[in-house]
Amino acid sequence: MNIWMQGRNLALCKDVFRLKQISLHAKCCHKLSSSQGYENARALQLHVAYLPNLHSGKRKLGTEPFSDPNVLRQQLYTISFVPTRSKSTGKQSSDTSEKRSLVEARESPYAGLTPSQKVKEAGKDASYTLVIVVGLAVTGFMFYMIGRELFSSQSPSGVYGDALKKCQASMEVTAALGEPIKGYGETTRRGRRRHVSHTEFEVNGVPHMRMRFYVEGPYRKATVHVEVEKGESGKYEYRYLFVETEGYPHRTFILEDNR
Amino acid sequence: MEEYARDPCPWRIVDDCGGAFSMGAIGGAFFHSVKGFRNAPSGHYRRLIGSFIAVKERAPIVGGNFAVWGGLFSAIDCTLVYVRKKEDPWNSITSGALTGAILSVRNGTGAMIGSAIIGGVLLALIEGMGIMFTKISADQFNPANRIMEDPSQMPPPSQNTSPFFTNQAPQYQ
Repeated sequence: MNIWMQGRNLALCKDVFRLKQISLHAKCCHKLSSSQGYENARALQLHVAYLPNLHSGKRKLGTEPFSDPNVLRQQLYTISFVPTRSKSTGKQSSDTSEKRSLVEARESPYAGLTPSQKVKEAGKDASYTLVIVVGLAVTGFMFYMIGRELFSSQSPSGVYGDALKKCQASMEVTAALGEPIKGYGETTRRGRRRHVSHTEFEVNGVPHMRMRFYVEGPYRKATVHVEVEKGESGKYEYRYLFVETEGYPHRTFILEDNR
Repeated sequence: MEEYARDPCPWRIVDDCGGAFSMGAIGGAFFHSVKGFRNAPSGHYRRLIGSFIAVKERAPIVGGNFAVWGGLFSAIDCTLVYVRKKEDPWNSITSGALTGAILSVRNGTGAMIGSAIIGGVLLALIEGMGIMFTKISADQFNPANRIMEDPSQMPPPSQNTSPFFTNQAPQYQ
């Protein structure tokens, strides 16, 4: 059950519901009283323990003593407490008119404002919306960049993955380096090796990418040099790919040479 | 150079754990000094004392939490490197998600999924920032590279007439 009520502080809340004798739940009281400073909160949810026959409308509310535990069956209802910007209306005599005013208070957040205040509020809302939109745009752009880097095969990491697979599949390289071959990029100071050094450039308007990474097996380490160029299909094709072992007998395994 | 040649992985866990602890301790000291200052009773001296006490009590806890995160993250990262035989951004994203999931394992499946998503997205953002920074810094050097980029490759010196791909001839250098 939702009750929309107008007012800004606990006194008014109590007054509207004639809750003077009802001890509000301690938490609710706190929320209510702390809501006095709420200017921009659209709605504040709070729980109130109150009598079940409070809204019957037949009795005079809030007059019964609370000794009977059956009467005092506490039920939790959610009351949304809507602080309005308008001046708190004077005490109204009948319950129905109060309730109608409560319903009306919900209709527009701009209700009961002078034109200058309306302009001010609209400006505030617009600026907040702008901030949110800019933040979403920046986040979306970053995710787009990451997704393009990680999922596309036409990115540095895609080329790296494919070249590493080629090295691992090559008989000569596995014979020279040993069987489980692992690949990594440049070592940073903190022991991270996932950045593969690469440069992108253009030759006669055709995009090229040159890349260097390292492979390591149980016997030896090696450096892999790759260059790819964009073919007619718009995909990267190998220009060359060779593996150069470290250590004294330098050996070079050319896996791809399409020059 | 010995350091450089060594495999970073198993020792990196300790390294990351310590780095995360100090990062958390410093950040937590800053945060809790402000918080303790604000929560203390009025009076400059009391506020200062409250700030110190808050730092003393809380900053090591923050550091410890960070260290748990960093150590677990690095351990999973190294495990993934061992299993996948490859080091790339996927490792850190996956291990961020797994770390988030493992650390909230006592809060139920929903919490695990939520913090796994948060961890993965966070690490993806960090990786993306790294990727973007390298791209930007590479773009700055790009004109120099364009001049240098003539195919002056050392081992296969422009094999225009190479009849066989599979020559294993030992090269000079």
